[in-house]
Amino acid sequence: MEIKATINGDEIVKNINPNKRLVDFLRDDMNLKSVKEGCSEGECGACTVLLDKKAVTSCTLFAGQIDGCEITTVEGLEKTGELELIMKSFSKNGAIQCGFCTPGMIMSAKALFYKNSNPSKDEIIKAIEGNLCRCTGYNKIVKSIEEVRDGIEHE
Amino acid sequence: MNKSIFTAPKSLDELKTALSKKTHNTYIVAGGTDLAVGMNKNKIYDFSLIDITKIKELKKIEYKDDLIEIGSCVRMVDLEDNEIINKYVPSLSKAASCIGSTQIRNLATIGGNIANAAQCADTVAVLFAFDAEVEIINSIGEIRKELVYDVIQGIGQTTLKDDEVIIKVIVKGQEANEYSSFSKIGARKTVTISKINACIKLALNDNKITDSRVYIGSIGVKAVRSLLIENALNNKVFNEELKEKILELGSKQVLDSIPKRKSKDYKKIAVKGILDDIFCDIEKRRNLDE
Ligand SMILES: Cc1cc2nc3c(=O)[nH]c(=O)nc-3n(C[C@H](O)[C@H](O)[C@H](O)COP(=O)(O)OP(=O)(O)OC[C@H]3O[C@@H](n4cnc5c(N)ncnc54)[C@H](O)[C@@H]3O)c2cc1C
Ligand code: FES
Ligand code: FES
Repeated sequence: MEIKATINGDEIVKNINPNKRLVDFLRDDMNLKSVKEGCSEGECGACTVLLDKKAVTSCTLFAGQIDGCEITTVEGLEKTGELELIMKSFSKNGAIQCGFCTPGMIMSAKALFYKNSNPSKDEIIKAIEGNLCRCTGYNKIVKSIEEVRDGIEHE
Repeated sequence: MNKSIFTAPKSLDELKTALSKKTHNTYIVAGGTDLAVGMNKNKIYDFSLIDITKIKELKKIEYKDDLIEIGSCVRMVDLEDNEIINKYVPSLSKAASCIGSTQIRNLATIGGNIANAAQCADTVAVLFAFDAEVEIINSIGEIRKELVYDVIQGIGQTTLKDDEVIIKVIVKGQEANEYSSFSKIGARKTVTISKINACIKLALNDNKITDSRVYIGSIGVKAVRSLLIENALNNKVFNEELKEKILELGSKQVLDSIPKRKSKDYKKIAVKGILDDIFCDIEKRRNLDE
């Protein structure tokens, strides 16, 4: 099936297997390896991407469903230069240990910022409730997102 | 091997055509949160899909002649934020807001929650309490209506035929003297298929309860209506003393419904927590109205 979609700002027209899960399409066909597959059940959030600016788990929908939609992954934030500030904040605060959850966390935070440029701590916590991290204990991640919100820059 | 086909109709007319070509291994997909996970888990790769989420009509919430019509592809996030739902079916907003995580609520639809017919589907307990109906279309364009309660037959079982799709959920909103709330308890803080949930709807005249509907989910193949609790509520004064009595009856209802299940020991206690929560929420809403 041919789909038309905007992926990380680029319009693509591509013949794809629509019955693949979105996570498989993004990783295998689009080579967007920031998208991680953890639980495969919608529980861990490692595969989170933005679908029309909203956070979704890419293991819980089919690739064909994105026809006509806009998808953003961490690679997209890298392209626009937004990733740098976020990564510095995460690194500086010790919010990245094994790093497996990080892309999903970043995309959930980005979705929140689209909706609300000045979220409270509680709103940040709620936005990442579907993202599991087995290393950091979350506080450092929340703090990093608060600093991104406040535009605090780290060297 | 069958050829995999993916169709995304844009109108009910196109849906009708797609349904008329549906084979036994063609699935309807809305949010995908149950289906995509299930197919992957069961290692099923050879199938066709009809994606109904591109049909604009199915994404609307409308207030029509005292009735609220919710398109089957309305997502949990929409139910959570919608003014009409917040005002007339607040327990449905609450149930939607308790589902999964942000990522899941951005995809999961009300139609999918009904059609999937999980024992503890959260919006379903509310739809039962409101006597909600669904409108169903088939491959020749015929439309039929059925109570959500009757559509769901058992765990994963519905009256939906192979060529049928739920297009709308129709709910009569609560009146100014009516209150409703929902609560649940699950294994993990937020991301969970609730282990037990409940919805209560009350009509009050001053402080007296004139009518009630009580459904408890996850203590039967589908949410169970508790006449035991309803009888204890009707014609009583809504107060703390009544609440205490209802919590005890909640435990009794659990034991009556699942006398042999191991989970009864946990659920007979958990049910008190959720009923307490519901009472407090209704109390809070009443105070706001005064
Ligand atoms: C991580 C996670 C957490 C979850 N947490 C909860 C929770 O807390 N509470 C809860 O209740 N559920 C929960 N769920 C289950 C699921 O998200 C809901 O049941 C959801 O509402 C399903 O909707 P969907 O649109 O994603 O359905 P889909 O997966 O698209 O479809 C589900 C089933 O219904 C059929 N179907 C869908 N729409 C229609 C229609 N209009 N007419 C006929 N058939 C149709 C499909 O063919 C399929 O069999 C969770 C799921 C996940 C993955
Ligand atoms: S891999 Fe998708 S949520 Fe875990
Ligand atoms: S850093 Fe390891 S899972 Fe979060």
